[in-house]
Amino acid sequence: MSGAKEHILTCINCPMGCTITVKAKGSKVLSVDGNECKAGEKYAILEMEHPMRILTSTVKVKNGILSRIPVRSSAELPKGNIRECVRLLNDLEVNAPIDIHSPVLKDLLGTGVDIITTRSMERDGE
Amino acid sequence: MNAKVAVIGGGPAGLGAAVAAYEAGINPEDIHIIERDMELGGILQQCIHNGFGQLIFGEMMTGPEYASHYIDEVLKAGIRFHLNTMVLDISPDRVITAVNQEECLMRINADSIILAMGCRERTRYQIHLPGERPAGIYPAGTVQRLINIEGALPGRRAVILGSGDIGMIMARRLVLEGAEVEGVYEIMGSPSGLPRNVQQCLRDFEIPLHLSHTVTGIHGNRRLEGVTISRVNPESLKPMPGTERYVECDTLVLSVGLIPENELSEGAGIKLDGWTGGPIVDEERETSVDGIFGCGNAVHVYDLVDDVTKSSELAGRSAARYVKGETICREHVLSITAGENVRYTVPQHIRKQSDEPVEVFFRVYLEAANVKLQALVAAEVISEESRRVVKPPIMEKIILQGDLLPVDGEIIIQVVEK
Ligand SMILES: Cc1cc2nc3c(=O)[nH]c(=O)nc-3n(C[C@H](O)[C@H](O)[C@H](O)COP(=O)(O)OP(=O)(O)OC[C@H]3O[C@@H](n4cnc5c(N)ncnc54)[C@H](O)[C@@H]3O)c2cc1C
Ligand code: SF4
Repeated sequence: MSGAKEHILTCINCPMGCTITVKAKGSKVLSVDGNECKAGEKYAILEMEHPMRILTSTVKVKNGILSRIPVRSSAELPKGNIRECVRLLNDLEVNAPIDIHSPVLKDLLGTGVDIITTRSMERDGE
Repeated sequence: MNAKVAVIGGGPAGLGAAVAAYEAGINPEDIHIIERDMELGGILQQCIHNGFGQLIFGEMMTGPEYASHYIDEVLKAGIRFHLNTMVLDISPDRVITAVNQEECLMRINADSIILAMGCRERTRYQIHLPGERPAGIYPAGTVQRLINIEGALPGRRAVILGSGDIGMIMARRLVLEGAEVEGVYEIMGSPSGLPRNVQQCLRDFEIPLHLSHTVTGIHGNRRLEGVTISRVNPESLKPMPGTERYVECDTLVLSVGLIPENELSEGAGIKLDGWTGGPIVDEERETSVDGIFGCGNAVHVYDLVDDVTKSSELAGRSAARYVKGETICREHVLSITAGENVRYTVPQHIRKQSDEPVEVFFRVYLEAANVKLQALVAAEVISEESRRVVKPPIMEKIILQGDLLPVDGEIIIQVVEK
């Protein structure tokens, strides 16, 4: 078919890391091949149309047993926004004690996705 | 102090083993976890990225989330643990010597011991990096700790040597934290880490991966100023003269492999396997010393924490069985040998009497497509599985059915073309 291009992707959904060949016209997927399971097909289509990633990073924490607390996005974010989102986290500071899965930033860039802690942190000296 | 089960190391392996021993009926008061760090969780506390727990929980968790699940189980069960406590010695008759601030020297007489000390990183000296010795050269795990726990950026412009998972994960992390990563250089012809990390850590951020390249010079007096990169001959892996290139950088991150942590095991007289770097174990994860078991990265380096947890649960159950005197040994030991395209196997032999299936983990030397994994006894196939592709970074597994095992002899594990 004219205008169709082949793309080689690596599925990131599991450690197998299947090499997937996608034929697409622009971002319209025509065929998907090489995926070991259904999740790979879904990934390949999304990857061509609108790639998404989970963001993980850390933010500053005051009065904690450590000075940083790890965080992640509560759902996948558009891949293109990841760097901008990390920059937003740089200015953030939270207070210990804090629970695991506490939101530290809500509705990131209007995506409806929150940034949540991935561990709890006690106050220093307790 | 006395313990029925003493677990050395409070990472995912130690936590999983302790919980499994408890679930197998050992009183939680009699299970002691000894951890040198200020908290439980091991290396997972610094692995803040996601990709853990898919096999066990069916979702992608971050390292700290995965750890906290098992820490909660330990707390709920009431298993005893000692933090900031470093084990210095284990004797063959299972006396543990440890130190901490409060009690100074601590001795534990243990009915059984589970080794779960994890692994350590290869350093520049182990890979014989030539050149000067300036500051700015770090193992990838140290960079991970600096950035994720201490919130410190080690440098502004980094070169990564080796394409192990931690190196690739730290390449992405450095970029997200505002540093520049000039490239990842790998001496072999294929990446040593998982394919998904090549995609989500390197390609996603346009970080170049140079295969068949290595660092052949380190430059700088006090602080690293640059490195020399050379192409290597893909067969001999020797640097090719005339291909040298100078790359300016203030940080060199080494991701050149992990080795099981086993000084303590050696002290206890436990036999180690030259291929894995960890103790030789049987199918219940018992080492060559009676009543001492091993699991997790202390036995061989896993790529997935889920498999670490499963191996540790097996070790925990086995220790419980040993303590209760329920272990029955086979009359003859069955050895398991690495055959064609197999680098090593864990376990290395089968010693107990049981009808339970035995899972044999192994790694291949070379990537291969359309292959069969086979277990052979006297040239006869007793187990076989197909794979579309096998790769060295991905651990493989074959299951041996208990009732098909011979009374004695050797089981050969091999990977052959279909
Ligand atoms: C730097 C690094 C980064 C990694 N990143 C990833 C990753 O991103 N994804 C992934 O799936 N896997 C990763 N791994 C592999 C990961 O280590 C395993 O999946 C898993 O954490 C291994 O669990 P473990 O309990 O065997 O070892 P560890 O988590 O290392 O735990 C061992 C524990 O034993 C303690 N200990 C050791 N010696 C003593 C002693 N003498 N006395 C008392 N305590 C002691 C240590 O302090 C530590 O807490 C990484 C490994 C390393 C080394
Ligand atoms: S296609 Fe399926 S098996 Fe292959 S990497 Fe993706 S999720 Fe894993």
